[in-house]
Amino acid sequence: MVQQYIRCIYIIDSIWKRTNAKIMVYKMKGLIMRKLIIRIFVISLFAALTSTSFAASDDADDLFEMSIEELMEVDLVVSGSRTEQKMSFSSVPITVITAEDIHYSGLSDIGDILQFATGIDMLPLTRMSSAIGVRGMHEAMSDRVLTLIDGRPADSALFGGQEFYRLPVMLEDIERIEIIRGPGGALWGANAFNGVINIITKDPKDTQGMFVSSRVNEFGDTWSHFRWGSKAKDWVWRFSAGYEDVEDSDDAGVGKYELGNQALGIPIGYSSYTANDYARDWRFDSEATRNISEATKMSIGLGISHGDKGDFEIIGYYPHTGMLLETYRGFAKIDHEFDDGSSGYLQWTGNYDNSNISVFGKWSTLVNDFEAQYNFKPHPDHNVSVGGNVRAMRIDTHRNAMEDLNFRGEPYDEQLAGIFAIDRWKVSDKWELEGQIRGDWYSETQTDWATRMSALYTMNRDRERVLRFSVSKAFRTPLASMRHSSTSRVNMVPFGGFGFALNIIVADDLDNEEIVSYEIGYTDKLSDNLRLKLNTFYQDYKDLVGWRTIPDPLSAGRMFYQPDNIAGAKMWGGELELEYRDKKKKISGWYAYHGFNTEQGDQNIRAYDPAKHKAGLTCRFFFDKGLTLNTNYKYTDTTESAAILGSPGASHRFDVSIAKEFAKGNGEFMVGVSDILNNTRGPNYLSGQVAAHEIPGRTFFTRVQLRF
Amino acid sequence: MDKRFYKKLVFVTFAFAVLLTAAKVIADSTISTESTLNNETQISREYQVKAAFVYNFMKFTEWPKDKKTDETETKSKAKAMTIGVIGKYPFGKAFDPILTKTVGERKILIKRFVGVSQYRDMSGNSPKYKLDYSQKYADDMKKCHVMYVCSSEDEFVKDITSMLEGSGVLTVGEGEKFIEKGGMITFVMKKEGVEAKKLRFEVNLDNVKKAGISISSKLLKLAKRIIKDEQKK
Repeated sequence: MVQQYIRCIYIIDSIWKRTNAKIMVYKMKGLIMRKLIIRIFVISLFAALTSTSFAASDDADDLFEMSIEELMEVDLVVSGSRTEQKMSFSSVPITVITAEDIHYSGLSDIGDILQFATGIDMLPLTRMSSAIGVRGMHEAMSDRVLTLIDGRPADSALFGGQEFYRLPVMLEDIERIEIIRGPGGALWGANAFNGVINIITKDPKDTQGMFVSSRVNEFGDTWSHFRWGSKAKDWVWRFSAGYEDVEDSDDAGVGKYELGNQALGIPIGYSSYTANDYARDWRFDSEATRNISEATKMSIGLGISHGDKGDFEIIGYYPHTGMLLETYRGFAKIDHEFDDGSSGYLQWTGNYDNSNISVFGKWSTLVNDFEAQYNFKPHPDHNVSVGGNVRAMRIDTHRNAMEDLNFRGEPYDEQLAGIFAIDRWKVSDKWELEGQIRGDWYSETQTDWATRMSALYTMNRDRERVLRFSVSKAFRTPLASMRHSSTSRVNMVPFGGFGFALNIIVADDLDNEEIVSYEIGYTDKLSDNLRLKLNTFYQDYKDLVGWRTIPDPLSAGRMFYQPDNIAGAKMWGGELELEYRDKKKKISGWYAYHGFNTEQGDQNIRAYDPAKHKAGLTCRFFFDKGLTLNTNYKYTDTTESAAILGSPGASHRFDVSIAKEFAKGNGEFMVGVSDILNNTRGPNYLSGQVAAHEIPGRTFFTRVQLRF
Repeated sequence: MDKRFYKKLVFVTFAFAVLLTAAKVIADSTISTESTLNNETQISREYQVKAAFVYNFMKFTEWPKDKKTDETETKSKAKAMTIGVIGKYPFGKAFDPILTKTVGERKILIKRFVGVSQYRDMSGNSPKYKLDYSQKYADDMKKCHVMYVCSSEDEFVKDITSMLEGSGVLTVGEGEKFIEKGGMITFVMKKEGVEAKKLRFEVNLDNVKKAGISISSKLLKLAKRIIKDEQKK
């Protein structure tokens, strides 16, 4: 402790010297006030640093110790630390889905692709949506996993969950998807609870020229994508546009409905239900970068999506109308490298969602987020990042019908702010420590904090055999939909027709959900081509919000639910990953065991439990003459849940695709079949659904892509 | 402490972090306009790895015995080897660790040269700019052991390699075409596929031999492509 304190003093002293040097420059420029600001910031930083441990990752020095063979294998990821890091030295369990994995899967939906990643739970719900969870706790809008696009927030501001089907991102524009398993709140704040899914798009300089992709399947569903990338002077840009037209399950001949509770069949008008899950969406995405100077880079981007989709039943009400989902996203970012080798960025992200879903109602959300990060080396053995963000949100809702959700006291103007500090400390040749700490203030609930403390022990010279110990804490803030929504049907006169059988009562004060995780991880390079990763964990949950059942005051058989911090839960298990790759093939397999127990036997957690056993296998073979064979397999054990959602049985998913290049690699033709082993999938229920339907399983498809 | 105090603490600390970063951006941008060559540039991981590659290349290379070196350096530096970098400098601090390393017993120095493209702009696109450039920098460039040609000089690769011909300088550059235009070693990186986002290198052995340089077979074995007697591996 004393040593740590002395080290802190040393760090602050070194920062002080550096800032003093800058202040001399500022003074000369007549900006004396900045001196005061910097002093106060240094004091703040001191407070943050003394409350955490120090850590390190590999840096440039280590690269010079590597052989050429090792340098040729350097992989880069960013989600685990907010800066680029070698995979084996990440302080969190992380899996990367590469552009190659996405491309050769031949799939058209992010959810479909994610299911093959280590430790992911996925249940298909409709033809356009699925429940996706990292280590389970998944639901239609899994608000316990944070979704990001290039590190920028991409979750619903009203519901807090992922909505992959409305993101203005084209699959072929994705560079990689990084999936953090376990709490990531110390880096990314509220909602990074069970995990983080960070979709990283390609740099415009890597998407130059024209690209066209067209995919069609046996039902006549089509997916089209056109991209144009170019450059002029200091600007490099990319424009992408896509359109998809997906028929509903009924038209695909497999939309068989199932009623979860037979007693509710007549009140909800079940006999009139059809599987109306079509989607006609267009998307546009653009990004441009400009090197303002050799040290400063500016990036701007705009994304738009427009979705016209079929509707569904929820809380016993099926409106038989379509849905409208519109999203507008923009960002502006300035990255800068300072004279002293430190770096930082300033970023604005804007997101406007306009939605009209009968049952939920009509709503719009406007989010403006400003973020800053500064990376510096106060000492040769320390890499420090500090930063924070402020976010303002405006949420407007409007009820179309009495059956829609009622939002108490809307519209909502909400703000949040967070600061974080990360230190990576190379203690010795063998030991490195990483400390992450973050505090968040949210205008509507409580101030909370998150942390991750990791120790990494290197067991060999080339730093490929690494043992990791981590403790982390994160939290989940209940958003407006959870705190304020209710149904007004409870006030309707009974026997008046549909929709009064299921009712939601507005929540009393809700606290943040909390998670504390203890982890041990091991990575090893068993040979030049074979890598092993093993992670074990124990996660302790507190105050999980679920639907508490309230007795019907009139004893009329109606059901009332109220969100409440019911109780905690425990999760434990591990994931084993093996990957072999050479120039001709990639074979990777994984197995995950996720045990889960709620504190109360029949405790509702408004989501599915993790499937206890899961396994995946991907094989990819590159033959001569541009021929590639790809297979993906996933096994999911029975998924348990509290009564509302049911318990989907064990399932196997197996996909095969064959791709052949032509026109000197500028064109590619692919044929494939997804979900070979199942004629249909489901039905799987959304939280609050009384009825659900099957969707197509085995599907043949073909795809053509051209580059100019 | 009450809730208000936390709110204030969060806002105040964050505001300071933002202001500090903004102030540094403004201050450094202002300073950076004063000199093009003295700018530190943005370090990306890619260039950190490339710098480490260059260091490794030097360990597997033998230069001609009569190789000219910079005699104007101090006595202690007389035995040093020099890496020249020509063009818009993308390495930032990536080469810093190399200053403490040695190849054999020889220390390593980094020398930055203004690029032909930059010189053209600085000279107002004078018709004689290539000649002027050569007269001004060629001698110093020939004294380097390695010359890293940055991508900003893509259109002048042939001019630069001709300028260095016969001087025993190992030229390293970027992109497949570099070694087809007179360069010796080039970095390539696939955007997609098994080797996506991993650095590979290619060698034009003909150009290496012409310069009287010898590269170890161990290094050549790792090259993704070797051009030899105009034949592709």
